[in-house]
Amino acid sequence: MTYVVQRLIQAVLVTFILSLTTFGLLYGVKDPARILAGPDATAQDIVRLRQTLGLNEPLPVQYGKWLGRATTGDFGRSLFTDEPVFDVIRPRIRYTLQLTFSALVLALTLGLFLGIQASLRRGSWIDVVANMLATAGQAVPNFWLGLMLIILFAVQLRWLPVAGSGGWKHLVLPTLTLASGLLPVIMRLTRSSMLDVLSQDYVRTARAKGVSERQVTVKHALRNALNPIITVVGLQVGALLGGAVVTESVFAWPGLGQLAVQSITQGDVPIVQGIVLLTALSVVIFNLMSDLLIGLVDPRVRYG
Amino acid sequence: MADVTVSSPETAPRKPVSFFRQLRRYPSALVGGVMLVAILAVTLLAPVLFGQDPMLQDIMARMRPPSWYAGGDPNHLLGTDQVGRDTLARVLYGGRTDLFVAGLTVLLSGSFGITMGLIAGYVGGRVDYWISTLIYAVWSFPTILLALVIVAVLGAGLPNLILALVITSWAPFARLVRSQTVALREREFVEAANALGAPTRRILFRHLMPNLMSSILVIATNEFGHVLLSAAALSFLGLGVPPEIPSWGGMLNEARNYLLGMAWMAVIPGVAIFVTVLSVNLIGDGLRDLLDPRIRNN
Amino acid sequence: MKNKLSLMLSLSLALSATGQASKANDTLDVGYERVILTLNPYATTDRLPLVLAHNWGDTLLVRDPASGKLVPHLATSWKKVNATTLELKLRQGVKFHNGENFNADSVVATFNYAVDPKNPNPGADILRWIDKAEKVNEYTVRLISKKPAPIALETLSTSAIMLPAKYLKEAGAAGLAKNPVGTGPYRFVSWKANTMTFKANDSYFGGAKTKPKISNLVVHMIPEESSRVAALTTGELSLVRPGGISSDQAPLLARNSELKIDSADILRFWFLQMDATGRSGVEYFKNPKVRQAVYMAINRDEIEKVLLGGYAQTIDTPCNPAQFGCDAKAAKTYKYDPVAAKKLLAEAGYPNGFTVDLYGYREQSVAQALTGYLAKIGIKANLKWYGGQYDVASQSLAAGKVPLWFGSWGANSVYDASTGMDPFFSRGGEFVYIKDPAVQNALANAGITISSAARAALFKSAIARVTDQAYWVPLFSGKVIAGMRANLNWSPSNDEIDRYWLASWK
Repeated sequence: MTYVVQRLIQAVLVTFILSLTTFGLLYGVKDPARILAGPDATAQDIVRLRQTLGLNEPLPVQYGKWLGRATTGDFGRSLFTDEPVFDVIRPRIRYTLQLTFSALVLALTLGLFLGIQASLRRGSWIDVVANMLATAGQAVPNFWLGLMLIILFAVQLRWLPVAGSGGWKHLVLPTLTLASGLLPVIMRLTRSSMLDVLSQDYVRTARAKGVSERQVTVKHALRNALNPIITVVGLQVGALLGGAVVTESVFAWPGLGQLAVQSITQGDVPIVQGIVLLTALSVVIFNLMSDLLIGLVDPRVRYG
Repeated sequence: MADVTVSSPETAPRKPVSFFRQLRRYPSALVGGVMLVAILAVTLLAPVLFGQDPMLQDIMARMRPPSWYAGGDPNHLLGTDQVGRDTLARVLYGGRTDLFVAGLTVLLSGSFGITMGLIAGYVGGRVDYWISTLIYAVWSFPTILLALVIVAVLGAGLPNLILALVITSWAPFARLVRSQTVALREREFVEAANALGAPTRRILFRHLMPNLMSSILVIATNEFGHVLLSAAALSFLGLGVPPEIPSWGGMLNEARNYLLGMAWMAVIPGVAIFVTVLSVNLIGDGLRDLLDPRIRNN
Repeated sequence: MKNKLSLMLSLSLALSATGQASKANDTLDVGYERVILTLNPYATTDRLPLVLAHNWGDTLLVRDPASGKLVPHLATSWKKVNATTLELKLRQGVKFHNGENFNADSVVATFNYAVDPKNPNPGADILRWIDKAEKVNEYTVRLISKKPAPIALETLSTSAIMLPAKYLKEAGAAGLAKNPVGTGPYRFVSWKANTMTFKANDSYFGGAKTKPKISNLVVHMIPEESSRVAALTTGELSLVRPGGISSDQAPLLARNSELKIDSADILRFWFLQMDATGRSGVEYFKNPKVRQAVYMAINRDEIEKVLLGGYAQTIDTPCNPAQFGCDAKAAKTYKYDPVAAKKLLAEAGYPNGFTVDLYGYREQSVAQALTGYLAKIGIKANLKWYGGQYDVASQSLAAGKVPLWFGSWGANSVYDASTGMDPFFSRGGEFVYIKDPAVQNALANAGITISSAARAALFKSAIARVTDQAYWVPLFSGKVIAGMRANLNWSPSNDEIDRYWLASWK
C-alpha cells in the first residue's frame, strides 16, 4: 500500500470519528431533544423537535440518517429562524476564509523571514529580539491583544476601523490578532530547523565547495527545514480556526466563529453542529494536503 | 503513516541531580521559575495576605482607577470594578481559579495522554493505528470551538470546563509519548527487560517513563500556557468559569464594556494572564534548551 | 526589527484616516446593540425588528409624539360601529415598495396572517383582540373583536405594520423575515452578515410621517458596547441607537466635542420578579416575608443615583407611572433596610439565607449589584446572564424556570397600565409566576371596561395588592441614551421607536 493511499484511508477514518463525535455530542449525553432545544426550551419546542428528528428510532439508524443528510450538505434547520443550516452558514464561510488565510500568510512570511534571519545570525540582536517577541507573543491572550489593538490603532490613532467588515482595512487588526499566536510558533520552528539543517554535513560540504551563502540557505537549508514547518502548520490550522472564533467575536467579524458563538449562546444546535463538522473537515483536508506536500518535498517520508 | 515529530530530542537516561545543577545555566528557566513561584505564592496566600473579599460590592466606590491615578483610592490599590469590587482581590482570587483550572487540566490530560501514548507506542500494530487516528481526529477540531460546544452541552461550571479542556488538550502528550516510545522500544535496555520477562506495565512505567519525563515536562509547560489561555478565552466569551467565581477571563469579559475610558479594568487581568503564561513558557524554554543536546553541546 | 516596525507604522499611516464621512455619503450608519434574527416584527417580541418595521412600513394610525394623540396615517378616518366593531377608511394611492397597491386586501391579509393562531407570532399578541378583519369595499375595512377592546386604537398605532397581500401570499413568513416589503419611508435593500441597508423611498406618501431627509440608512449590528462606542468615536457610525449606550459610557461621550448624547424617558421599566407560586420549583418566595426581605435588601436609591448615574427614575409601581392607570400613590413601598431584611428572613425560617438563580439579560452592572445586595442578607444569587439576548432569556421565563427575574418591560409602547401588568399578573400567559385572584380579576375587568374612571380604579386596586404582597421589587423606569455625531440632528423617542426619517445633517 502506498503512503498516499494509507493516508487517504486514515483521513476517511478520522472523518468518521469527527462525524460520530459531532453527532454524539448532542445525542449521546442526555435526552437529545432536550439538548438540541437548549437548556431553556419550552415543552412545545421539545415535542416539535422529537417529531422532526425522528428520535424514536434506534441510535445507529438516527446516526446513519443524519450522516446521509449531512453528506449532501443538509444539517437540518436553524431552531431560531427555521432556515436550512447550510444557508445560514454559507455566507459566513468567505469571511472566515479571508481572515484565516491572511493570518496564515502573515504568520508564514514574517515567521519564515524572522526565523531564517535569526538562524543565520545566531546570537545577534535580531536573534535575541525575535526570540523575545516570540516568547511574549506566545504568552499574550489573543483576544486581549485584539482589545488593546482596538484601543491603540482604532480609537487613539484612528488609522483602522474598530469592528465589522468592509474593505481590507477592516481585515488588518483581526489578522494581526489571529496571527499573533501562530507567528511565534513558525518563527521558532524555522529557526530551530534551520539551525538543525545548517549543522548537517551536506550543508557544510556545500559551503566548503564554495556554493554561495544565499544558495546554501535557500536551496539546501530551507528546503530541508520546510518539512517540519509544513507539518506544524498543518497541526496548527485547528488552533487557528479556534482562534478565529475568539478573534471574530472581538472584532464583530461576520465569519463562522462569530456565528458559532452566537448560535451556542442561543442554543441553536444544528448550526453549531454544521460549523463544527465543516471546520473540522477542512482541517482534515488541510492536514492531508500538507502531509502529501511533505511527501513531495521529502521523499524519505514515505518509508517513515 | 508519516512519522515526523516536531522535535525528537535524543533522550538518554539522565540523573535528576545534574538536571537541577544545569538549571542555573539557563537563566530563562530561572527567571520563569522565580516568577511562577511568586505568582503562586501571592495567589495561594491571597486570603492570608489580603483581607478583601473579591465578591464584596461597594457601589459607592465603583469604577475607581488604580490608586496612583487621579481619583484613585488608597484602599483599592488596583481600583474597583463596575459594582465596586476590589480589583486586586479579584485578580488574586481569579488567579487561584485560573491556576487551579489549568493545573488540574494539565495533570488530567497529561495522565490520559501519556497513557494513551505509551500504549500506542509500546503495543504498536492495530492499537497504535487506532490511537493515532484518534489523536489525529481530536487535533482536527478547532480547539476552542470544541471546548465551547462541550461546555454548552454539559452546562457551565468548573468540572465541565475542566472536562472540556482535558478533552481538547490530551493529544499533544499522547503524540509525543507515542513517537518517543516507538523510538525507545527498540533500545537495548527495553529489549533486555523484555527478554528478562518483565511484565509490560513494569517495562512501561519503570523503564520507559523515566526516559520520557523530561520531554513530557516541556510539553506540560507548553500545554499549561495553552490551557490557561483557552480557559481565559472561554470565560471571556461567557462560557467558561461561571460569573460567581472570580477569574481573569471573566474579569476581561466584564471589562470589555468599559474598554474606553476605563481601560485599566481590561489591562490588569490581561497582564496577569500574560505574566503567568510567560513565566511558564520561560520555564519550558529553559527546559527545552537544557534537554536539547545540540544546543547544550555548543 | 526596528526598521520593520517603523515600516509597518508608516505603511499604516499611508492607509490614512478611516473616519468615514457619513454626511458626504448621505448615509445614516446606525449601531445596534444585538444581532437580530428576523425582520418580521410579528415573529418576535424583540423590539429591534419593530423599530425597523416602522421605518420600512407603516401603521394605520400614528401616535403623535408631541401631543400624544392618535392621528390618521394609512387610515384616514375611523369610527366605532358598535362596541366590538371598528371601521376604518383607508388612504388611497399608496403603493408598497414592490408596486402593489395598498388597499383593504392588504389590511385583511395582514391581520389574517398576524393573529392567526396557527402562526406563532408572539409580536402580534397585543393585536389578538382582533377576531377577524373584513373588507367592506376597496378602501374600507372592519376590525371585529369578541369583547370590547379599550386599547384597540393604541395597539394599531404601535404594532400593526401593513403588509402587501400578494407578496405575503407568495413569499410567506420566511420572505418577510429576510426581505420585508412595506410602504414606509425607507425601502429595504439588503441584509448581509451583520449589516442591513435601506434606501429612502422617494415616492413616500408622507401622511403623519415625512419623507426621509437622509437618503441611505445602514444598520450595523455590533453587540459589544465598547466597539459600538469606539466606532461612533471614529465616525464609522453616525448614531448609536437609544439603549445602545450605557449610563457609564455617557459621560465619556459627553466630553468629546465631536459627539453628543441625547436621552429620552421611555415606557420601559425594570423590576425584580419573585416566583410567588413555586412555578420554577423554588419555594422560598411563596413566603411573603421572604419577598419583603428581598425588597428591603435592595438599595434602589443607590442603583438610580450611583449605578445608573441619574439615567433612571426609581418607581414603586409594577408599571410605568407615565401609563394611564399606573397610580404611584396606590403603591405600598418598603424602605431599604438590610438589617431588618435579614431579621425578616430569619423569621421566615432562613437565618442563614439560601441559594437561588437570578436571571438577567440587560443592565449587567445592575444585575450584579442585585446579587451583591442579596448577598448582604445571606441570599446567594447565582447570576444566569444572557448578555443582551432577550430572545433566549425570555424562553426560560416562558418555560417556567426562573425563580428570580431581573426583567424589563417596554409595555409595547402603549400608554396604558394594562400592557405593563397583564403579561405578568393576568390569568394565563407564559410569563406569569404570580397568581393572585384579586389582581387577576381587577386586570380582567379593566381589559373589558371602557369607562376611564372605572378602569383607573381597577388598576389602582391591582397595584395596591401587588405591592402589598411584595410580588415584585419595582426598580426604576429608564432613560435610554443615544450617542451621535455632533453634526446629526436627531432625538430619541419616548416610545422607543426610532424615527430615522426625521434625522438630518447640520
